[in-house]
Amino acid sequence: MKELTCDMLVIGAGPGGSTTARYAAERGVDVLMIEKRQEIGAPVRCGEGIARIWLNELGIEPDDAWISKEVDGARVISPSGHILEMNEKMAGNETGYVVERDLFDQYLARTAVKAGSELMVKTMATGLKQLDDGVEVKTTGIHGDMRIKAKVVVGADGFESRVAGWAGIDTRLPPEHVNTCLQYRMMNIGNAEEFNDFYAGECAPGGYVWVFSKGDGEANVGIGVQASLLNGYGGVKYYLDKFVKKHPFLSKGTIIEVVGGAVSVGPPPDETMKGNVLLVGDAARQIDALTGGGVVNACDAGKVAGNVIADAVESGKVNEEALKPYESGWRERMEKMLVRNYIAKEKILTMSDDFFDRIILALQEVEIERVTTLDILTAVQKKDPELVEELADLL
Amino acid sequence: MPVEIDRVLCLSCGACVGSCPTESITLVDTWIEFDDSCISCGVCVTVCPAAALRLPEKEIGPFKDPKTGEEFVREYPCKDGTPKGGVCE
Repeated sequence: MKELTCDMLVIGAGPGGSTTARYAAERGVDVLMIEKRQEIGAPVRCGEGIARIWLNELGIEPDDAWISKEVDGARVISPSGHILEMNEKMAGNETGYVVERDLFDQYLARTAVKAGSELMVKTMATGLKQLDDGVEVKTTGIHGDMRIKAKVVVGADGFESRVAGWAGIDTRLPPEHVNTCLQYRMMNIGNAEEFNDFYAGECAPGGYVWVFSKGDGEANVGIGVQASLLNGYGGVKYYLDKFVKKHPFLSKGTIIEVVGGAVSVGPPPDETMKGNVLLVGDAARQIDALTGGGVVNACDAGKVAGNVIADAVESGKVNEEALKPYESGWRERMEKMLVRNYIAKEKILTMSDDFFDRIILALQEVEIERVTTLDILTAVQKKDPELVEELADLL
Repeated sequence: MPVEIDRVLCLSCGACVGSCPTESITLVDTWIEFDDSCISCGVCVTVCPAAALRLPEKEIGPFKDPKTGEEFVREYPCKDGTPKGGVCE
């Protein structure tokens, strides 16, 4: 068995892992990244909408290699077809670019390698043991069986994280906190290409349907449904097929790709690190429960993790104490938003189609600057005070 | 391993892996594998967006609760196993 040592081992080369690797490597940390798949980012498991503002913040130059369409705005469409239109400033996270996620993930991994990280694909972690002075991880794959000793391990292994369980961090999800998703990439459809559309209501129990434009008559048409509201099998597909059939602009299209996946939609977990193991991204449940978006949060947390780890390595003391700023650091940046959007999502779960229609109608006629939960409520209060009574606990 | 996998339908998306309460499923590229710790709870069957997983009828029940003697059927999968669009009769 091959033995390797490094400062930091990143398990999973998605956006969270690659960003952590990049920031740590840029500061001279000896980084090894492993990825179990044979091709980074493939198969895709994502709706592929990414915010423009956020790219700037991470210093990522938009690149035609992974951008399939620039999208100016978003629309929320109520069950009766009332439309709430939002520009980029208002819609925040959900507008900007529709990307090719596999190419985007590969781009981020390349950035990490350029910064000095090592990368091994088709290499899977099979177990993990915390030691007094670091972490030992066993792997298997194209480089043979290996035992890797690292000062710190970053579990960026996604929704299906194994690192969490191995490290003794409980991130398991009840079905109430899982939204299961199916997406068709369709061509020859007639969607409004300048918008990313979100359909709310009973068409997707506990979730929504999205139509994200890829340009040229193509779009990602996907659905997320809360797992606890399904029964038997084939439920998600049933709802998506029903939606496609019901909308003439979709029903004549051709499906050219099928994408599956799941996201966590619970509140943030109590802990995302233990000993010298840190979780980043979907593995740490850093997902917006309202939108199901996670790429931005994963990279944001990855930046925090990379810098905290570099601090620890530079100080010569890599232990839980030195790594603790990660836990507080990422929570400072996004926990409030995650909790608020989780509460909002729980509230939305109880809404009927009629209620959705009234909210969208109320919002249509009010000028709102930004679509945050508070702004929405304030706007609704002006228009339809009765509605707000039912939403009082959110305020 | 009581859960049946239709490998033609499987999208290798990992939805089952992350939803499994006993962490009994592993995914490598396009291959999922259950280990012996599976308790046939059926969560993966319901979560699977591809309808690629099934529980055979004998895993669904009815079972007798060893303590109370009451009969019960597993909550998640449909009793008759037919895809009725997520809502069992």
